[in-house]
Amino acid sequence: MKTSKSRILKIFHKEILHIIRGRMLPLLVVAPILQMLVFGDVVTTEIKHISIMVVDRSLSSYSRLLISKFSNVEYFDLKTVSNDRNDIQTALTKGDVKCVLSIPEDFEEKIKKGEKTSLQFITDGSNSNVGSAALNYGSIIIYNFSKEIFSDKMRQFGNVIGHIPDITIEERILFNPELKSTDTMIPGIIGLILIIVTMVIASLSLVKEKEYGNIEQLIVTPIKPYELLLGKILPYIIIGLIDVIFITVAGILIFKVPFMGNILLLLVLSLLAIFVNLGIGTFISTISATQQQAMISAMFFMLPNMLLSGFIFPIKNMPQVIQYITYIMPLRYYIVILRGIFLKGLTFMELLPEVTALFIYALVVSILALKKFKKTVG
Amino acid sequence: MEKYSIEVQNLTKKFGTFTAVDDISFNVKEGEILGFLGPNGAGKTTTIKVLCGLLIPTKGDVFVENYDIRKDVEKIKTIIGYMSQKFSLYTDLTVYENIKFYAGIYGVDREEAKIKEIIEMLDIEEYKNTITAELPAGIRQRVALATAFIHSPKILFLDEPTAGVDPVLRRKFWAIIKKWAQQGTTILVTTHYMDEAENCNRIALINQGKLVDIGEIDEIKGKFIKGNILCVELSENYVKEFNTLKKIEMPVKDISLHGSIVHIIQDIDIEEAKKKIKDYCKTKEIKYKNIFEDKPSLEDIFINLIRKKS
Ligand SMILES: Nc1ncnc2c1ncn2[C@@H]1O[C@H](COP(=O)(O)OP(=O)(O)O)[C@@H](O)[C@H]1O
Ligand SMILES: [Mg+2]
Repeated sequence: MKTSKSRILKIFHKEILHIIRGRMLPLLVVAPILQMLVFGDVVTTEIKHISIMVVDRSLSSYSRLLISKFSNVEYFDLKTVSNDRNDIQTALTKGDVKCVLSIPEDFEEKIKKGEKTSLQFITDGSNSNVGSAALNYGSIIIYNFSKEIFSDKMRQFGNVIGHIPDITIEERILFNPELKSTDTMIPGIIGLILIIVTMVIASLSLVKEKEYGNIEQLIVTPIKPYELLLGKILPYIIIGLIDVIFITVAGILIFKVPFMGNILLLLVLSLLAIFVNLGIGTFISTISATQQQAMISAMFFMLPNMLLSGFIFPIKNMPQVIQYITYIMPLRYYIVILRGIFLKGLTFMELLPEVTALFIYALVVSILALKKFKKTVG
Repeated sequence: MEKYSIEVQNLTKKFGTFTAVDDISFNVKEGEILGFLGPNGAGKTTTIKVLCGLLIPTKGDVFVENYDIRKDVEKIKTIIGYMSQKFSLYTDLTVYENIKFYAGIYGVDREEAKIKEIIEMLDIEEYKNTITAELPAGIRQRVALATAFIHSPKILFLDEPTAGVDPVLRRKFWAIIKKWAQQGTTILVTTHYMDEAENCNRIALINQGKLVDIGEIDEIKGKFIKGNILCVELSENYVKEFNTLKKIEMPVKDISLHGSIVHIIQDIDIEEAKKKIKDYCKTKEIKYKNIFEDKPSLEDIFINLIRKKS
């Protein structure tokens, strides 16, 4: 047992030397933080203060109510209210405003009668980002406005805004009903970054020894497969944990995500998730002949993890068959754990199903990697 | 009964349907240097890999220090050293770190003293803290030898250890190997260089997966080449003159060109043959420096061997 431990430490030490000599350390620690900043920025940077002009030809209490909705949110800056449709062209071409909401003369009348009416929402096509963001926010405001007045006649009012693409409204609402994504997205991003860093690294580490011809030299020594594999992943467990701490802190400080739970619990369960990721990566490494092959296999495994883990799309909205498939995505469980600890302050017992799933996963990948590795010994 | 370090009985190794090693049997005595000779693709590396436990034999039995390779391969691994044909050091580690790593993996006692000793023995002190990637080929090979011998194995497998190393360093290398053998280490070494085989106690000739012969060098030379060898050292146009010489009318068993020297293996009386060749050269105006008698070399055996097969 003593020699076993010292062999694991030898491999560990050698791996650390590889990391240092290869100047990998800054990359392994800095890259995840940068990823956090970039991903976090993408999901949280909503385009705000889009200048808008309203052409109100209705001049009614309903139209004023709708206008107030637009002037009360920080997404729009209401520049002018006009009652002449001819102003639209000049305002847009001169660049005074990025979008225009046009309310027809018979707006109030038709609403009262419960008839179909049309609002026009015109955006400046020259900047598609701003244009589509404006359209998105605009539709949500109109949608909420319609809900407010016509809570009983929603369907009918759907026609009122019929010219605004339904899909954009729906998507926006599915993702993020309150236009507030940061809190749920940031914990997910932690899981995502962790899986990218740890799985890729682990999938490369063993196959490198194969490619450079070192593995034979190791196999002729009395080292046991578990000693070699454990020694090799040990440094990355530590690096993975450091990454979790850094990106969690970055998430909390920079993106102001609430943290309701226990940080120690988060670390312990992250350790489990890291082990699973490294195990899968190592398994990929044992069955790959080249680094390129390993890299592609790792990507092949990570992509469905991103899409089917509930990170972007809620699992409950997926088709039944796909929902079953999500159960084999380790990231699914880790994201529940992350969101649970971050946003709800869940305890170990409350997360027991996810912990059990990850634990079984860890066991299975360890056995698979060891089995497969023995075989490559020939 | 003599004690054998390695016993190989009817060993066969197949890759799919291709037979790389075909029904080979041989024994290696303790403290012996056995040289494996054979052309590229003969099956030398495959045989060594089976003996090291890197490959599982398809058929046959292998015993290393009386341990059965199929059952006790892990025990075997503690007592063997292996220097692979492919370069296998960690290029981003220093010489010292490479050696220390393997010392740790083998659990060597008095580690630092042992490392110091082997570094001195192989005369690589000045490179101790050099990153392996920056070493010249000859030094790399010695570092590889150090990592393979750091745990003082009973048996050392060396797969083309001197490939690409200059002759002076090769001689140094062999001096060390011989010393270790004298101290009781059994050594199985493959090589391409014919002259190196002279350093071995016995040689095994391998061709197309088969063991053609095994024995002491002189014994094998005698067996494979009956008759005497006459050497004609040409002055110019070696290939052209060689082709003319080939047409000589006398019972020649084999004729081959080695640089500027033509080897003629034949059966008739040596003086008579010499005269015939001289006369022939005169009529064909072949310019030569010298005609002399020589013992057959392993190279002659080799060429002979490969010709016979094809
Ligand atoms: N893993 C393998 N799979 C298939 N064929 C192999 C493998 N390893 C070696 N061979 C083949 O077996 C033969 C013997 O190879 P090898 O033992 O390396 O020869 P040598 O070392 O004498 O040059 C060659 O024809 C080689 O192509
Ligand atoms: Mg070979």
